[in-house]
Amino acid sequence: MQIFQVVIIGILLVFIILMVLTLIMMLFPKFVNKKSKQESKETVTLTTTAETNIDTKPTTIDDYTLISVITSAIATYRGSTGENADINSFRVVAFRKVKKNKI
Amino acid sequence: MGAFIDTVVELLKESGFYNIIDTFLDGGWKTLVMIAISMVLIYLAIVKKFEPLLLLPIAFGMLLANLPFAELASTSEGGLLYYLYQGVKLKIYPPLIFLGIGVMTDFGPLIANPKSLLLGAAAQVGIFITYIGASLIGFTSPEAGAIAMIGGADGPTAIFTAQALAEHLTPAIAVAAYSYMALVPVIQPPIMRALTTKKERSIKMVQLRDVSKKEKIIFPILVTLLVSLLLPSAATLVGMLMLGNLIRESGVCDRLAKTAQNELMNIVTIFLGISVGSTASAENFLQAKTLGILFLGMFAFAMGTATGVLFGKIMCVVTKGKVNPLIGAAGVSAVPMAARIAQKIGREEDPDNYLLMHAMGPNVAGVIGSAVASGILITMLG
Repeated sequence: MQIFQVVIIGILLVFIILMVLTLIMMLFPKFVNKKSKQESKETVTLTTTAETNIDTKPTTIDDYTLISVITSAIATYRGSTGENADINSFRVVAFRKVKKNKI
Repeated sequence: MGAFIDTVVELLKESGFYNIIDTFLDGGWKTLVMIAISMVLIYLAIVKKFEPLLLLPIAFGMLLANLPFAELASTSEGGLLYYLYQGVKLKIYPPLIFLGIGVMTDFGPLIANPKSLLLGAAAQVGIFITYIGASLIGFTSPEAGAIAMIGGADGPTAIFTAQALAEHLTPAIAVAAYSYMALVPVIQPPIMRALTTKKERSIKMVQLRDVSKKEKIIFPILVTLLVSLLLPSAATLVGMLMLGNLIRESGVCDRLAKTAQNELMNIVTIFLGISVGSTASAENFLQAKTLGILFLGMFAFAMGTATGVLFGKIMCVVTKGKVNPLIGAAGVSAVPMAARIAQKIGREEDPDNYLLMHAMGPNVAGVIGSAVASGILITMLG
């Protein structure tokens, strides 16, 4: 009788503890990621605005190549190249059109 | 000349060979049997690759412990292995292994699909079914609990529980646990195929959502608080597992993460293996009980797999075919082998079916589940 008592209580406890954990984790995205979603929304808005400002002429250069080139140029300008390279130390916040008549 | 011969004879009498021959009928044969068993285990570790990282030190510890006059058994006070064994006796090594496992484990698939935790819980039912079997064939209640933990398919947890409940059975339990973990690819597939239909095995699951870093950092803290407050006896294993995971996910302790999953883990693995092996003296190991433990260990493993798959089938019905029952088999821990088996069996039916990440959820849930089951057994039977 004691054997079955251990088994029933044991199984119930394992399920109860893991079910409580399951329920809490199911609420994770609602609470933990709430702020993150808002942040990503803001990012999307900013990106959209930036995109509208960028010249949308068709280009032959792949976007990723362009990003690499710009990143590399900024890193070189800042003197952080080779082993000292740290592309996380700066952030591009805006692109502006150059007025041709001023050149 | 006579004095020289006397000295040589005296030296020979102090040799292990003389002891084995002299006491052969009075138990010396047991020494030879134990040496033979350790050789078989060394063979399985090196040639068959049966969990070699632990089985090899265990087998060699067994060999050392059974050398006559060497005084290397864990019980020989003053010997090297006696002191190393204190880490097992005081239950220090298994939690340290859990720390390393925590650093190596990505709980992302589990956080993305929390229902996997239920599959991890279901696979622990095998432990309790085995507990009934072990009790019915004559093991005491604490012994039955320690043996049943083999079904958790988690070596450190099995050793931790054995030390708490039935210290004298630790070597047999450790050998059984690690041998069967190595045999996961042999034990699980027939059970998985027998309990599922072709249609069920072919179910493709939807891709898991991305898990944010914030979720991954909160998860180990939350699990530690919740499990430890509900079940304090599980706090040691769960706490160390989650500390390791927090070190990994925090992203600010790279040096600690590297040490915990490499140097520390390797050092503790050597100490744990050789210490557990050194407890396997002939008097301790060559008993009818050992055969019973080996049989019950296999039974526990099979039952854990079966209950995991059966619960997977229930989840399949409840979710209207969105869960492939095969991933339930991964709930027995044995990370990541059990998840790989689920993937392999799934791809046998449909080569485009990728279940690995889905199976990793129940797989890591099984580690938490077995630590919880261990805590429950220690609380109730210790």
